[in-house]
Amino acid sequence: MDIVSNALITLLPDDEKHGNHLRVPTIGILDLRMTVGGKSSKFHVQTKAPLKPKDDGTDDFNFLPEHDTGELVFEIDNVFDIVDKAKIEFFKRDEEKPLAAIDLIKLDRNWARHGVHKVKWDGRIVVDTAPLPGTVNAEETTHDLTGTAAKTDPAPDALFPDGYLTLEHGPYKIRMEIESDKLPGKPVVAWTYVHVLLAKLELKLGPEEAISNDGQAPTLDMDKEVRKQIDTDGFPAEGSTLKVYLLHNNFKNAGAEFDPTANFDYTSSATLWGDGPRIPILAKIWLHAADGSEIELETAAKGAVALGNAKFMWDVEDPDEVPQPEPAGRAANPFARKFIAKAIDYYKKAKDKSRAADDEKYYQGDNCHVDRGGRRGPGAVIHFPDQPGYAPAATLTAGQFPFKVGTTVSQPKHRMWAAFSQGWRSGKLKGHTGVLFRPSRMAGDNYVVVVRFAWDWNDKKEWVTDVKDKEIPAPKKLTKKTGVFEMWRRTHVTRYIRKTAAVTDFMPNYDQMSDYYKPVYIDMKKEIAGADNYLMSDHKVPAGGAVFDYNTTAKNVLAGLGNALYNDGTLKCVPENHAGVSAAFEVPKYHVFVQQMHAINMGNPANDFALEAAAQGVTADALAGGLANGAAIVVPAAVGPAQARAQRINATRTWLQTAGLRTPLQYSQAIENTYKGVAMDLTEQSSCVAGAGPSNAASPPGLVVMHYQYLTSATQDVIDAGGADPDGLRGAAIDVADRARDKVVFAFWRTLIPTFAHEIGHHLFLPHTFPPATTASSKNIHDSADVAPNPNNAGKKGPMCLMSYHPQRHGFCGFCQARLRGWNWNVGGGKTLSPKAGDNKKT
Amino acid sequence: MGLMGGANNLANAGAETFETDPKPLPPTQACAKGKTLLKAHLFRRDTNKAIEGEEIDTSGKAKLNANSAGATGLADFGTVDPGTYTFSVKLSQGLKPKYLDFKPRDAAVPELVDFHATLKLDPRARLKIVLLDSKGKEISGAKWALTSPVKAKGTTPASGLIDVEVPWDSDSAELDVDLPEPSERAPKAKDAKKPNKKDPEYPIIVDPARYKKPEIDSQHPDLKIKWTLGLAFLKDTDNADGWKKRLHNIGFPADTDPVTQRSVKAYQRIKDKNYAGSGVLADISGSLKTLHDTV
Repeated sequence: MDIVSNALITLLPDDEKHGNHLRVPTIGILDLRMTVGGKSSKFHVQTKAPLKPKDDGTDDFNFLPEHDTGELVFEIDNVFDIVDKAKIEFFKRDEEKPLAAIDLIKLDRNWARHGVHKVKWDGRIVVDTAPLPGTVNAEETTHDLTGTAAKTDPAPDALFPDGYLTLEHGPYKIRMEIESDKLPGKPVVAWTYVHVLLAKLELKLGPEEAISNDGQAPTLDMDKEVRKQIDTDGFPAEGSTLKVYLLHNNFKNAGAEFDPTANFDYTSSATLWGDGPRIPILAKIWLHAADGSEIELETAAKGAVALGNAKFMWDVEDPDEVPQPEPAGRAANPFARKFIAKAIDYYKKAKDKSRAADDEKYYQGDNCHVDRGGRRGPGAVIHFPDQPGYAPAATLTAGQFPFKVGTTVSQPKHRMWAAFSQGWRSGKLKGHTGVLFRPSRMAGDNYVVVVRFAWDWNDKKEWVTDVKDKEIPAPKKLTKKTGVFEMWRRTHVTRYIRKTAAVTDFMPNYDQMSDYYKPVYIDMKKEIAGADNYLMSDHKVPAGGAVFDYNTTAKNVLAGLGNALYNDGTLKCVPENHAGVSAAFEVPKYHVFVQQMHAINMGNPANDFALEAAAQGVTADALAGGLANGAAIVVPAAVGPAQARAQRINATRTWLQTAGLRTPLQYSQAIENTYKGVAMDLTEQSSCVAGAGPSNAASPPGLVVMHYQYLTSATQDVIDAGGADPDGLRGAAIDVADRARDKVVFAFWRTLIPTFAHEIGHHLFLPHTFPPATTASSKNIHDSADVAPNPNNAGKKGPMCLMSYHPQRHGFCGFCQARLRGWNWNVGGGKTLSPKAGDNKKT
Repeated sequence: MGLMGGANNLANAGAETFETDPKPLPPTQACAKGKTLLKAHLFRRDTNKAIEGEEIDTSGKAKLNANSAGATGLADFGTVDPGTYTFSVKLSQGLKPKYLDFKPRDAAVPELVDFHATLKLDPRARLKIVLLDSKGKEISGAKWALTSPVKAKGTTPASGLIDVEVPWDSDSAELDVDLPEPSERAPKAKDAKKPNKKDPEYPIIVDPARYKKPEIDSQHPDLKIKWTLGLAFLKDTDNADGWKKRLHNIGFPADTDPVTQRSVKAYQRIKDKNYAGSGVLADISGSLKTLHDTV
């Protein structure tokens, strides 16, 4: 029996018309829906309710709280006015407890009045303590909740922080329950579903103020520079690629830093860039209005409150690396390609039997692994560090990231490399959320940053976005990806000093030189201001001081050499004007040298050549220049001055031959070999970093190039005479006295593009191959397969790396490329890279 | 349990009397004429009102007959021999619907007395109830069963009427009603379309099962109702208390004054479209009586 009731029945035996009427009072809900602009949610009522719900409205109805004002329409069957309890509750999925409730009886009994109720409503949860009787109009009752204060909640994890339904919890079940004390235990319920929907997301670069620097490397200024570069070059839209340049004016300062055990290239880079730059990225948010339009929360007068504490999951994708194309005119280096391809194929699937407990706790891909100092792999620091955020404000606080990010928002349970953020509902960044993205400092690493609205959760109440899978099934409009952030290093060449104007300007070849660095993701940038591109004649030491006395310095270093020929004047020009030649040192022309040798070193009369030449009908210079390489002078039989002179000249000839100085070519080579060391000393003492040209300021951070045309003028003489450069000292990465970690010098004596790139390689900590290195251990730090027969070494196979002297050397070998990327190739002496390409692949 | 007193409140109710019944006449008295005289008086039991024009027969000592007449319902049999007489009343066609058949009764008539027999007819009483739904419409097809004071059952016709003869002096009744299924019932919610995990849809497909607060799966009106009915004569309910009972019977609670006032307003709104009703009970007593008491 469902109900027991009492009644008084009257009898009237004499009146056939007399009787009684009995009725059990009932209550009911005949309609409940949200309507905006002709669209309506669908009415649902408990199963077996004595009515068929109207078949209009939909379960995917949406509106934008605060922005859209509509009507919450309900109809109550309360003929007998017996409803004593009436409430509207708001539920989310998988929660038994309502998120919020409005006690309608507290507002007024009119809310339970029989008939149709139309409630003007914009999605707010109202404070239900103040009377709000509504307006009775015959069978209809109207109410207006838009004039009643919304129930705000300042708690950080508030369900409805501004007192409005939000994006976070939908779809909502708006449930009405009424009950009568006369029908105890017989509540009546009805409900309808409404959605608050995300329309779209847009990613963009965040403001500079949003960079929060914790004092760890890199510096705030470095972070700002990176941000500025991205801003200038354009934030990468999906499908595009942006090169992110990390300034690495980080150079070798001592020969010891070549030592394989020093691992200095890695550690110094780590000191410089730490866990990578801090790049603020914002997601701009649009929500859907009821009419289907997309409402930009940033500019809309109303609606941003609906963002609530919705959560957005940030993630990175690691696209397969596409090797940088070889620069035009350069053949690909197949060895390096193979080496790198193997090296980056390193636990790509995020599974590693040796550390199975960490499997899939890091993302899949080919970015530099933690084993090599990267940010992918077991225990890697995630790319989106926690941020406490701060309250929305009209003005941003410089140095503080505005949005809350990380574990305090939501802790991923599976996608451990992801992070959740929340947005601002007001203030300068209204309608945005964001993260501080920290890509690794490793050149060649690449990232796509992905933001997804955490729109759903599973039966374990875990976000459906929080999965290990590489691809997350998600509605397209809830996901936004950046283009590819491709990490590059940038190194500056900041000063270019030519010995004289006659030195062939290298700069037209600069781009070909910098091409060597492109395959290793280094932008070798020519950053030479006009005032730092000058001639030695304009060089002042100290900066802004007197013009550098090149001649004196040159003389001093030559004097310090202790060479007898120089010291006795044989190798000196008269006057001695080193500054006037394009080479580092001026030396006498060969025929002058021969004559000076004859006079000074052999102690003979200076006019021997003049007299003999006159006798032969040639010039003295011609006679001297061809003396050692020609036939001996015929010695007259008759004793006399001519005979003696000829004998003296032949003695000089013999000396030249014995000394291997038969020709100007041999002469130039011999002097170059003699002057090598002092040539470097001369450069070092020129204060190319601390001194200055027209800028009157020391060199900016970067590489300084001191460009001579050959070591001595003798080489130029050979070439001027139609000969070929005998080759010799081409360049040297010199540890000058005025160097700094970010300022170094290399001397450049022969205008050869590979040499320029090679010497910079040294300053980037790369040692020679073996050979020319003399220690066999050098083999272990270059790609062992990158070799070819070397005609300069009896056809024996030798390294082809740019850091070799192989005549057909190509670009950097794979091992060097990995180092130039910044990889930790030598962890505590235990190598993480093998010179054998195949050893570097791990699965 | 009745809401009012029941049979004890029925005015002048009484049993048949013969020798001992002093009213309207003493059953026996010495006959001044020295004869044995026999008279009978016919009344209705609930009101003791005389019934005229009905034939009263005797059998036993002698077969006699006389019609009741006058204000005392007297049927005079004249001089008779002492002995035992059996009285019976032959109801005319007009009274048969109103009264139960009279069960013959014996009376020993002594010698030399003026014997008055008082005979009472039991009126027929009908329990008439119209079942209404919440909209005031008669409920057709409701199955009902009266378990006391008599047993009866049936199904309401289009008029919604339950009509059962009951003893006129019953003071309570028990009525069970099975209301018919409403013509339309909200269907059980269909199973939600299963989300495609590989290609999830947005907006999210609403799955009612994911809203965890259990929903009640039935709604009023309840279909099985047990009424405990208090029975009373109409004239005893034409007062404020009676109006409240009537309100109650048709669904409007009237236990306390505020509740009654609210119900009267609701009644005025529903009955008269008066959206600013007085809430005063007396203002609706007339229409209420008509609505409630007339079938």
